[in-house]
Amino acid sequence: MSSPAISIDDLAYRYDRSEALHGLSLTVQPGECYGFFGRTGAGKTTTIKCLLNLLRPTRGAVRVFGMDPARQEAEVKARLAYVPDFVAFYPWMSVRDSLDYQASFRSHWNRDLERSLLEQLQLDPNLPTTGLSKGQRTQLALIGAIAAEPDLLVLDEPTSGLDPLVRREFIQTIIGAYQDAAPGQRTVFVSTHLITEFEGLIDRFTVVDQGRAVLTATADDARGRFRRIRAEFEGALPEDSEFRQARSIRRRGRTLELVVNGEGESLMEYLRTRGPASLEIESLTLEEIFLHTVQPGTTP
Amino acid sequence: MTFRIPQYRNGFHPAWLLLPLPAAVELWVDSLEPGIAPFDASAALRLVVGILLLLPLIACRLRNVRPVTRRVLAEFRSQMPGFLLTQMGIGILGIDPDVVSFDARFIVLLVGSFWMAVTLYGAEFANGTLASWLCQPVRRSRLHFEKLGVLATLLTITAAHWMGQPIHVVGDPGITNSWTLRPSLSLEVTAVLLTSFCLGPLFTLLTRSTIAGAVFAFTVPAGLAVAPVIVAGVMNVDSDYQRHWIAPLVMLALSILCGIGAIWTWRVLRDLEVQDSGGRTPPAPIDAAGTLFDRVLVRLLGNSSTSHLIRKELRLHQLARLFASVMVGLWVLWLGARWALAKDGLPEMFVPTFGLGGFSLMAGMFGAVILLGAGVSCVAEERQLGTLG
Amino acid sequence: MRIQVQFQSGVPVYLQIVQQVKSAAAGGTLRPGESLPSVRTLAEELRINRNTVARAYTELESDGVIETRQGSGCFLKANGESPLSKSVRQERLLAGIDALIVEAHHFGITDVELKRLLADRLTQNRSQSASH
Repeated sequence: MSSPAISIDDLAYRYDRSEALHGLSLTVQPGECYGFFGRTGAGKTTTIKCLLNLLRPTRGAVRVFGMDPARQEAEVKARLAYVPDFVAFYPWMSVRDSLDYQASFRSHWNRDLERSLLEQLQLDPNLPTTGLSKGQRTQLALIGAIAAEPDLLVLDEPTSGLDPLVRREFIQTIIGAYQDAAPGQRTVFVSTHLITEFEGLIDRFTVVDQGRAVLTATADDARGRFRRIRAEFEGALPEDSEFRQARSIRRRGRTLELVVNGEGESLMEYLRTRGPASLEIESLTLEEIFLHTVQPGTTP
Repeated sequence: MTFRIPQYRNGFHPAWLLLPLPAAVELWVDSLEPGIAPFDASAALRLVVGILLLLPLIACRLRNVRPVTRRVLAEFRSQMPGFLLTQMGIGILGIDPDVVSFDARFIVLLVGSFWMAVTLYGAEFANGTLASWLCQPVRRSRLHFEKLGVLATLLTITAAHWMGQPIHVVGDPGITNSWTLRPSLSLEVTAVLLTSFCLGPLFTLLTRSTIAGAVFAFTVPAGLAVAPVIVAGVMNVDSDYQRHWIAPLVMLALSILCGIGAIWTWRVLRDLEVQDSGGRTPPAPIDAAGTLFDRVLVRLLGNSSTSHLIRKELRLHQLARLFASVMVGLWVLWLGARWALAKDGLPEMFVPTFGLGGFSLMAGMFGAVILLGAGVSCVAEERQLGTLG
Repeated sequence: MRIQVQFQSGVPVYLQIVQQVKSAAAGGTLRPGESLPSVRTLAEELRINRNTVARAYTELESDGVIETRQGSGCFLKANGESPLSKSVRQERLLAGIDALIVEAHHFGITDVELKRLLADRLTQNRSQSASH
């Protein structure tokens, strides 16, 4: 039980023409909801495929529950379920056929959970899979993944292509249903660039950019460190050079907006001495933290 | 029980099942002529086989079965279009035994068995289901052997069905249903089935495409089989003694090729990486060839929107089409040569048995089917992507 | 009792829940023996991870604020006055005072002036309640 759900150490992967990952490392503990954030092409899918033995690392080690996916492929896959970014089904299968087919590979399958999710998401089991919308295809794949009740759920961009209005509701339903039976043990590893939907769900995350992990933190820590300070002044604004520790500085009329990574308190203290008309501090959202990490200097 | 008409992607449509209808009507009219018994032993056999052939189709509808059975049935279901079409072809062409229908039946066997063999993995690539299929918690070896088991079963049924049909001897219209011929024929049937079984999945996995897989799986062993005949012709080997060596040599070479192919298939699957989720991009060398090909086309066609469409169309299956065109070309050449040389009497080399003539006929038919398939699948793909103007 | 979570506050989410339950208990919004929303309900309502809610409840339980009854959920402990309520009340008050100090600072009011204002207010309030 002590081995982490996922442990990636110094992972590198080289495609024919370019290297997608250079020395990525991260660890996911059992029971965590782990966010894997990155822009399109940052190496998210490549990393996930290395976990599944769909790609073999050029360098470095990948372990899932302490097992090497290349050597114990079936054992690893018995403990996880994967929903790819590109969901596809056999064209001649109905929703029912497809779930039955997926169940045929599993030693455990929760029929009640499957039924209740089909009802909740209003998915007709008799529909042919060719007639499903992009969102419905993702829903079907997720139902299949969750009904198997694995210890680890690996989701690759589960919300892209979904209606923005239902995204949040949908992901809440799915992850909630998955964690329901055993909240402490069900691990989620989700890769996405649409982070807002996951704001409250993520326990810990890694931001990956150009094949490297550029930030790993718990969501609470990150929100405690990345803060936006807004100070309004009656007179002239202080010079930029006074805020070396700020990650970004923006001036809007008489308002000064600073984004900091840590050191928020000391900067507040300093600003108070400058006698501002108003002074506010707030945390950045995970999405803003992500954007700041991959594109320093931009203020969302 | 409602029986749903199956929906097929990638160019397979139920209407295809009507393709052999004209032949059936023609053959039926022929059989009305006096002198041919409408019912004989082989007709009864065909009836039984026909009923048995429906069994896999019915089995696919079963619901409460063991997991392994469910997977195997799903695999059967994937193979149904090719399988049924092949059986219908064989069955209909067997109604009236004559030389032409016998040759045509052999081509149906050839095309059908290769079709089934390349769909085995080709369907996973075409449907984009390869990644999720490989992510199931079952060993790859097991996944592989379950698939191969289904293919072997279907090919065996096909062979049995084919061998159950009346056999007509080329060049000797007097002998039909000669049981003495079956052993030597069964050797040829086995060669075809074994080659498709061992090389079809291999080349689909290597090229990551059904069409390209079919072309290579056919041309490589066919080239191997024909090369000695051509060499013998060119070197003017006349003595019967020396010519008798060709067939066993070809058989031996084919066996070795099949053996290597079978082992290699497993190794390719074991080490298979899924770099692209959809499984549609060809591997680097073929892609590079495609880029070069594309550049030449830009030179020839300019850069208009029509040229864009043509280039894209050609790039999708360009290599496969090239090969298929060569096959059709060979056939036409052969027909031309035969027509031109017929006046002076046929040279020994071109005797239309399982020599160059037989091969060119088969290759031509095979190539034509592939061109047709590629075209239909392109249209289907475009419709799928919504890019059909 | 209504629990709300502010991601922008910079306070860990589970801690926000803990603090709100404690202050609701101290303020009387949540009475001893009263039930708390289930982990599932609260997680869905706040759109947060179930683990986070579970963590907050575990913390509250180990602090002796709530108790879990098998099968029926979490309840505020029925042992009369919670041992924490006094310190929690004080904590709440101090937070208000801190905010006041900051505000006064921004308005350029000196510490002496602030103290005087507070004293005046207290006297005024006392005389008001006495007269009633």
